[in-house]
Order: sequence, then C-alpha cells, then structure tokens
Amino acid sequence: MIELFSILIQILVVTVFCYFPKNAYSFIYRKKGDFFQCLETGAIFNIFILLCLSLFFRKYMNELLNIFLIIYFIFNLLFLVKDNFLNFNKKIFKFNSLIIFFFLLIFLFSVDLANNLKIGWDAQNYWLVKKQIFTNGGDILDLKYTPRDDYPYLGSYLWHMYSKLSFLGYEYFGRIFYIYLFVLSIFAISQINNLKKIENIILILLIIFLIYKINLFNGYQEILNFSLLILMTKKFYIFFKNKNLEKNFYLTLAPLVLIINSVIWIKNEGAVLAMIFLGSIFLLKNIRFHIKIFLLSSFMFLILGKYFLFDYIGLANEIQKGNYEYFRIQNFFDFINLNRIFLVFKYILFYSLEVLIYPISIIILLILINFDKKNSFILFMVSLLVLSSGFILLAFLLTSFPLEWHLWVALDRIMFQTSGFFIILIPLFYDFLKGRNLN
Amino acid sequence: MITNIKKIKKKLLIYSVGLIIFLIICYQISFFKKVYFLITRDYDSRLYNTYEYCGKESVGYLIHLKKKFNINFKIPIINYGNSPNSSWYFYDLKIKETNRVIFLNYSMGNENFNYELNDEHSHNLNDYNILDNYENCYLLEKK
Repeated sequence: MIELFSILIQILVVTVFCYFPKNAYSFIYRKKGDFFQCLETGAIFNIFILLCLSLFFRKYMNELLNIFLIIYFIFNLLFLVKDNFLNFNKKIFKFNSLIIFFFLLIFLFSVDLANNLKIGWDAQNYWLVKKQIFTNGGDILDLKYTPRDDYPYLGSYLWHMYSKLSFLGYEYFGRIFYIYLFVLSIFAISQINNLKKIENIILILLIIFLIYKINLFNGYQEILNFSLLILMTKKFYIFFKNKNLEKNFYLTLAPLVLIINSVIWIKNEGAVLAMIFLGSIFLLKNIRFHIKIFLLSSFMFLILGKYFLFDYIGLANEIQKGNYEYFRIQNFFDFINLNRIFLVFKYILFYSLEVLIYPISIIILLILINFDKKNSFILFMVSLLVLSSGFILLAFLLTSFPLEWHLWVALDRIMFQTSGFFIILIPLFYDFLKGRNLN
Repeated sequence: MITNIKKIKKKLLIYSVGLIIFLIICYQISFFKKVYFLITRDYDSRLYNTYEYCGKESVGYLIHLKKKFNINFKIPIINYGNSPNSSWYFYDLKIKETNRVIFLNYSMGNENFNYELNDEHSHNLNDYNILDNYENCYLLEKK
C-alpha cells in the first residue's frame, strides 16, 4: 500500500517540478496558457535545469544541490497553487476530466511499470551504469569510467534525480518521469486544435493504444527522445500557425531550442534528429531567413557546447564509437549495394508492422497531399519523413556490425524514436476529417 | 425537451466509448491484478519474478543471497553468461573490501566471455570456499 501511495506522491512531485508559471508562459507566448501548456513548457525547462545542475554541481556540493532542489520545488509549488487553486472561485482552474484522465493514465502506466521491473539489455549495460554513478554520489567527471563513454548522460541523470526525489528511492521511480513525459507529450499534441474534451480523450487513447508497450520504459532512452520530438513538432507547429509569434521569435522559439538541446544530450543520434528537423525547416519558403539563421546558429552553438563540455568532462567525442569504424570511401560499394539496401527495406517493412505510426503517417500524408498540395506544413512533414527514412537507411547501410544482426536489434528502436515526428499527423488528420482547414 | 434528451444520449454514447477504450487499456495491462500485486508483494518479490533465478542476470539468486547472508556491502559479481552484469542490484549498499565474490552462470567454456581480461578473480572454483551454491550460481570466499 505504501508503494502505491508513493507512486501517487511521485506523480505529484514530478508535476510540481514540471510546472511553469502562467505569467512566464504568457510572457513568452503573449497569451494565457492552460494547465497542460504550462506543464509541457515546464517539462522542457525542467529537463534543461537538471542538465545545468548536472554540469554545475560537483559531488562535494550535494547539500547545496539539495537546498537548490527544495527551493526549486517550493517556488514551483507556490506558482502551481497560485495559478490554479487561489482563483478557484473565479473558475479559472477547471478541474476538468482531461486533467483527471491525465493523472489516471500516468498512474495506470506507473503501476504497470512497478510490476514489470525488467531493465533492457543496453539499459543495464550503459544507461543504468551512468545512473549508478550519480546514485553512488559521483558526478559528471566520473562518467569517463563507464562503458560507452561517448554516450550522453542526460536521460540517466533524469532517471537518477527522480528516483532520488522519491519517497522509497527505488530506481523505477526515476522511470516514472519517462512515463510522465510520454503521456504529457501525447496530451500536448492532441490539443493542437480546439477539440471537445471527449474528442481529445478518444484521440489520446487512440494514440496511446497505438504506441504503448511497457518495454518502452525499460530504461532505454528512445522514449525520451520520442516524447521530445513530439513536443518539438508541436512547438514548431504553433509557431508556424501563429504569424504574430514571429515578432519576438527568439523568445517563442526558446522552448524549441531547449528541446533540441535535450535531444542532443539524451542520445548521440539526437544531433542527427535535430539536423533532420532543422533541414526540413530550411526547406520551408514561408519561414523567414533570419529565423532560419537563428535556429541554425543556436544548433551550432549547442553542438559546440556539447563538444567542449564532453571534452572538459573527459568523455569521448566520437559519435557511436565503433559502429562505423570500417567504413571508408574506398570500400563504399561493400557497404552500399543492392543486397544490403534490399535487406534494410525488408526489415523496415517488417518493423513497420510493429511501429505502426510509420505506415499510418504515410497513408495520412498521401491523403492530405492529395487534397491540399500547397500546404507548407504537410510538405514540411513529407521532408521530415524523407530525411528520417534516409537517415535510417544510411545508419544501417554504413554499419560495421553484421547488418542483419544490427537491423534485428536496433531498427525498431530507431524507427520508434523518429516516429515521434509524425504523431502530429493524427490530430491534424482528425481535423481534416472534420472538414477544417489545416492552415 | 427532445433535443435535450438527444444531446444527453449523444454525450452518454461518446463517454461510453471513451470509458470502453479506457477499460480495454486497463484490461490489456491487467491493471487491477497489478494493483493487487503492488499491495501484496514487496519490491524484491516483484524483481524476483521479473528475472530468472539462476540464468541470464540471475537477480533471483542475488535476492536470495542478500536475504540469507544479510549482505550490506557490495560484493563483486562475475557473470559468465552472455547477459549484462547485475551488480546494479547492490547499488544502495556501501563499498567495502571483501574476499567474497559471486559467480553467476559459471562455466569455463563460454566463447563470448573473456577469461583473460577478467583476471581480477581466479576462475578456478578450487581457489574458493563455496558459501552458497545453486546450479551454476555461487557465493564464494577466497581461501
């Protein structure tokens, strides 16, 4: 019973840490945000703050870190109460079915997780080892003693922090944050158009029904990047739709830049995913040049920042050390030939039945293009799909591992991760079916 | 009046659909059974049921050792199998010098295990006193 109660408390603790004050939200977006909008923006900032904490606090500063966390918690709690409860009589806080449903789903999945404690292979070998460094009182400078020191550590740090912030301290409490971010991102994306609550709930259940498997939360980091890619496309969609956000774009795009930063610090391929996203933005004609330059320079700054920080920490700066060591221009055709391409396509087809978002997205895109060829956002999604597929193809064709084995163990995870880009198509398609204009 | 009834019927239908899908998810993940397990079984028992007892990560055997010998410090673990090392199970224990070692899935013939690289502890069982043993899993103490 104590554990069940602790899960509930943990969900509330994560909510407080992920909350973003409504005033700050309206300062950025020039409009009042609802509970979920504040939460999704808060989650993005929360991940960034925790990244900064990991970089700043050394092992001998543990007490200082605890004080900071308490202040951070109280500060957020005050704003959460002030924004949502103090004006209760004025009905500003609507304790609506969507909020109850949100917490119910997280609780449901947390209970599922508490009964399926198995940690995945790579998670046990790499991600959990990094988490243990922090749990045992180490800091980022100790990460160089972990296997695969070229892997970023933000996901492991979040895992550590949220299990540290729990009552019972079990490791899976840290993974409840992964569940939280996942559910939050689905809620965020299903609210891009003003639907009725019940329509929202059905849409959310449909998306979750398509995606949810308990194995997603076995310590692998793909679920974090998947959720962040969903938020990334949402933030960009909002920016794309509201031309008045361009006036202070450096502020309205700040959350987007922070998401890109998080994606880079969670997995190595995050940098490529960010490039795919930015590449697709660059192909859009109706995004102004100075905004593209702002995004590009921010990305360059983040990549360089990560490079120098990795250098300072003493971590390897190679991307996927060992995975591509045998590839040379001289043996180009040993890697890229029809047999290998056919094999990759065969596996993509096979895994599409598992990562259903891919075939569904392709069907939706084909329908939407057929009806509205000039819609820039649909073209943006098409370029995301083409670039993501190109990335998947190259990532496996150039591998130094036996191709079939590599495809068998990794393709589904890469496909799942990139599918985060396309979840937005489901609410957009629903809108289309309702006869609304996508622009 | 009739339009009101129609509206209520429509709302009822929509909410029922939402509830049914939600219950399907509950059923799919066996939610109620899992709530029961969460109340009646502690963390270690659930972990015990998730992993093999002596095979792969052998977490079940580690749980058994921790309880039987009241282990409160980290003991080095060598997993001779092809699975990840499960020393993470002892994460919350203090670090202390010890002459004990745990062998999991012990075998001298695993091609994927680098016996020369893992030379911190002897691989010969004759060099140890066997404190506990189940199939290929051992708790050993250096002679």
